[in-house]
Amino acid sequence: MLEVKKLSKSFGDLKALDGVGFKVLPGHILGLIGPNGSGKTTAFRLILNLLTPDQGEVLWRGKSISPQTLHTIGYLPEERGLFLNMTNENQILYFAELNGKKKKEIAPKIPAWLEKFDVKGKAKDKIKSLSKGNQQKIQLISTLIHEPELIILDEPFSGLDPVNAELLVAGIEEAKDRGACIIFSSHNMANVEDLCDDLLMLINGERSLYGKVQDIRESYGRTRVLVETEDTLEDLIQLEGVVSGREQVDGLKRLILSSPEVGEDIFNYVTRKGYVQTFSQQAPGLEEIFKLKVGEDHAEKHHYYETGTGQKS
Amino acid sequence: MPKSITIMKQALAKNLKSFNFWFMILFPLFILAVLALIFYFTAGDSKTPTALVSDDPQIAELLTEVEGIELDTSITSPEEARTALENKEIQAYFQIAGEATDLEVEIIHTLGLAESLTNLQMIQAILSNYQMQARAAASGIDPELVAEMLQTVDIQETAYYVSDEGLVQQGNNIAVTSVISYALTLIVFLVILFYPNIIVTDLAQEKGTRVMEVILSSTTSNQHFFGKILSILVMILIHFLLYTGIIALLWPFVKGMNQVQIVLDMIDVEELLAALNIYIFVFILLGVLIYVIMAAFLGSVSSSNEDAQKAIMPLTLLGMLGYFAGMYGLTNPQQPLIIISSYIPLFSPFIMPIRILNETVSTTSIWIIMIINILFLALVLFITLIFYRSNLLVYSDGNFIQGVGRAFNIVKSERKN
Repeated sequence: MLEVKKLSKSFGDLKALDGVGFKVLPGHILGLIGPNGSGKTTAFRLILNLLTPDQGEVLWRGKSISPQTLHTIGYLPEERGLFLNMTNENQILYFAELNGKKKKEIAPKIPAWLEKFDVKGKAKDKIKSLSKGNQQKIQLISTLIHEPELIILDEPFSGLDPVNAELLVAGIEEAKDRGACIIFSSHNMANVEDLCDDLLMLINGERSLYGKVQDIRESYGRTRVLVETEDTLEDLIQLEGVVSGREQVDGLKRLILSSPEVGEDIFNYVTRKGYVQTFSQQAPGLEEIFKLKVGEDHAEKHHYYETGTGQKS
Repeated sequence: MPKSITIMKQALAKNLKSFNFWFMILFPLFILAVLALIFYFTAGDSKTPTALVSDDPQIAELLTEVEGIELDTSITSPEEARTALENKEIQAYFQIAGEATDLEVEIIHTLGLAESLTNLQMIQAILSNYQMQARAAASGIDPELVAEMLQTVDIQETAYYVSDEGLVQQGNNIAVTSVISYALTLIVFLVILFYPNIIVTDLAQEKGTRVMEVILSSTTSNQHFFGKILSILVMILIHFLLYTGIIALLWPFVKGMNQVQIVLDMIDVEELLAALNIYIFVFILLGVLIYVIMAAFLGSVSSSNEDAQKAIMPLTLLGMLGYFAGMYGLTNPQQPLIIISSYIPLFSPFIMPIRILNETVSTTSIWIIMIINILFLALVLFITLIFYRSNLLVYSDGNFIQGVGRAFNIVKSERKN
């Protein structure tokens, strides 16, 4: 188990991390989210022993992380770190050796790993000859092949298409199944929601949210309704207990309610003429929670799919 | 296997395949080959024979012994000699007439004699002695007495240098000292020019491509640092062994060459080897370590190849300054400037070998300078190790000083914990 206790770190006047604590159990995945500059990288560097905390401690299997335990860790940095002139095989072997494995132990496994991640290239090809996505897979194989028990993945999905992202998910789940503790950061809340057991959100170096993903969502109440109806957005917004609403590009209306109890009234209203194909009352998604936490300005910049907003006057 | 060794092997494998390394190995050999070719072709002119037209066989015997002249005795008449000169079969011919007591000597040559027949004065001296002996014999003077009278004065050379302990006799042959001093200064300069550049580029590339973060998640910054330093030392060793191997391979072909023989006659190889002592190698090793470690520090601050080249520039300039000081010291080993410079660690590897070879430094001074160098090396190592871990995590878009400033903030933050 990884246990982080009240971790603080400052650089001059900048408080990068302020009393942050969390746990990652074996076979569990913790999603670390937060806006840029919230302290995620500093947290990773403190866990990896690259920095010394001002206060607090990091315990891995009950002890501080030392040079002797580094080989039990696999780290994938946000920006890809590869020797472009090296062959895929040598790159993987080098990092495996640094993680305490012998060449003869790892070399026979390489073809299977290349196949598992569907790398478009041979073991003897140079890294620079691969596409960025395939380079990222080599980096991921280098992170996982020594079967680390603590895996830290910084933005592992960036640059991957949906098919390759699925391969990555499979790799992460395989590590989870063998009992590894996994932390990953991502700006893609859908990935976090799908994969993570627990969630930690940092804002300005402080713990803003922490707990099981579902519990965090439920703590906001089931105040979101997604409905498919011929009623106009304007009509729906005028209803008692509807705070605001938006119409999505697929025609579904998304409503924000003042309390979960209002949901039943909305259901009765939209079904007054009969059957509706979609009516779903949910807790806010992680992306929405993230935006709520980080700020409304930020949220407005990220309305990817939604058009036509309305607000109760 | 210690992780430093894994890092050393990887760095070694990468650098041994690099263009820079092979350029560094082959470029001096290429220059030497070009010089050898020029030397071969220009020196080849002196092999063109010189003819002697004389009725006196003793003269031919005397001139045959003169080094650097290939005497063609098959030509017997001035006409034959003239034709041979015209056909470029000979470069010159001596036409010697008259009695031994009254020699009439004329040399007929084509243009360029000055370059090809440099020992005309020696020939003149030999012929003068011959004539003098003939005249003495004609006058009834004992030839042995004449030989004794003509014996040249032997000059014994004893060189001293002025040290703290008074006049101290210089033991080594000056020619030998000059050859080794020049060679060592050049070797140190080349090593200090190339190898710090390799480590600074290597580290900047690893930082720039973010490989460093992955490496440091598996090992400590100290292991990384020592792995890199070790790889440079092994490369220097490989460089040395390659050159030794190349010399050993070429030696059977080279040693028979006239020009090489002339050089070998000038120096005594045994004396040359004896002149090299352990202190010289210690100073060179300390110097190389100081420069390489300083370069590692500079490389750890740089985030790209361009940054690295800018960062290493002051160190390269210091190395060049040391080299020029060494060159000046070759001819002026007792100049106060040279003596003072030899106490400065960054200049010691260039100057101390010269001072030791010229025996212009006392054992006490050698030890003092060595201790200064060791202390400086320890200081450089200490500072580098403190900053290294922090430097590797700093990605500065600003200049070098800003990068060091940010690293210093991290160091301060780390050390208060």
